Amino acid sequence: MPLDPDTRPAMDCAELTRSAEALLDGEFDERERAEAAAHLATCEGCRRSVEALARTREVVRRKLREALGPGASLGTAPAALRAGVSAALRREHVPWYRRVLAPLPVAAAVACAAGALLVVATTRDDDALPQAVAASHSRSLPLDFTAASVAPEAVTRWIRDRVDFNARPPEFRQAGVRILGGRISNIQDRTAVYIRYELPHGQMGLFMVEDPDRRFGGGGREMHVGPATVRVANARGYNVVVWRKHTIVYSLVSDLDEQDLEHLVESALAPQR
Amino acid sequence: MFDLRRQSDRTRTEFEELAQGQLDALYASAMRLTRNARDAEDLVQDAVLRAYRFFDKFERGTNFRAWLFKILTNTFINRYRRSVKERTLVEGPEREAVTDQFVSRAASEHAADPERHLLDRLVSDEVVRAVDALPIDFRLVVILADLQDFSYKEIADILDIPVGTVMSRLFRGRRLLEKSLFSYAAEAGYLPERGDGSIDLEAFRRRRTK
Repeated sequence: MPLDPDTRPAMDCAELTRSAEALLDGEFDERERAEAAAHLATCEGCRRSVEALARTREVVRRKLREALGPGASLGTAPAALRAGVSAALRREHVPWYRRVLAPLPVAAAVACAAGALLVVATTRDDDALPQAVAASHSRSLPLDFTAASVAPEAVTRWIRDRVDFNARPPEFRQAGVRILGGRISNIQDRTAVYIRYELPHGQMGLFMVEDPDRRFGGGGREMHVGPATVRVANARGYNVVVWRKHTIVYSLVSDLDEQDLEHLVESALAPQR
Repeated sequence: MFDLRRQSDRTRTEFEELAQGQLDALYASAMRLTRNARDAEDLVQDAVLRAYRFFDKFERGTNFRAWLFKILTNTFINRYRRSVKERTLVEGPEREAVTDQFVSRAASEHAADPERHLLDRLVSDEVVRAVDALPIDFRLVVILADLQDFSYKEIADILDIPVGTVMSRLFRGRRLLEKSLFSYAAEAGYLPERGDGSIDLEAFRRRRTK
């Protein structure tokens, strides 16, 4: 057989024998395959032994599949194992985002089935709120109180003394989230409470504003976070998650990525024990 | 309107779907590593739970299957292998016995019967025995390559060994496996008679003494 002049038959019998398995296993690159083919085209002995090797390889693989592959009893996980794995995963208390968040009680979701949370049920395409909170958050205005001046457990009272609606910051139950301070703010001519949090990496802001006539909360896209439906928007480079609880609209704004923010919101929305 | 599943449940669901899809393959491999059903089930369950705990380290969109097998084999090596008494590597004379000569002998034997490979007649039980008889390091690479279809590179990653080591273990593991399979075939009388009417003498003697 005439050889392609560009293909140098660089492979000799010893090399081919050494690497025949790699060839059959499909591990050769294009050039190596060409070299092997060139050698096999001219070498009857190697061709025979590679063919024999291929046949044996093929039959052994087939026998392995018959004995141990899908469909064989030895290749099928027992139903008890499947069920055991599912049960063990359900029992597992450490979710994969454990580094960011403390584990949440497993029973919480069930307990909350009839919970008071929150539907943002408006069809208006209104993204004024995310823009406004992102703008306000990014201005880094001085805080009216700081963690040094007001203990965390006194924050609710601090808020109650200053606004006439019942705004309670949600409890972020994960390690490394700490209230830095807060101030009274203003969102589209409405009084809002702003709380600034320190996170393991960065900060975030929470706005609470009373909105009985459902003016806010139509922007962004809907997302299900735990038991809640929230809306997620991007504004000025921040991710903003908006949700409603009764007449209060909460907006969480942060430069965290969406997924991390989602986890934070999830923990905040999980029912309190 | 209300989605009662929490985020962690969704992650669990995603993981569980991926893992359950590999459970048969994991179990089949674990069975051949531990060689008994109870240990295999424990091994798979341990490995899957470990994988779940490390699921945040898993890069989405990469090779989940290889990642899962890496955890399975690591779990096996760490936890079970110490209790399994076996020589890990074939050394010395045994090693010589499984090199090229055997390949050519085996090859010529079945080349005589192009219609049907004589190993085709083996029953699953014999195949399982032959696999289980392999020293563990060879058994691992043979299972990963020839049953689970991983590439050399994937096996190297799974076992944390160089590709060259994968290749040499695979070569020797396959030769040992073939050797057992051919000898089972001979014992069971599957060896075809030679053209001159004689049969393989060794196989003949083994059959006589059975």
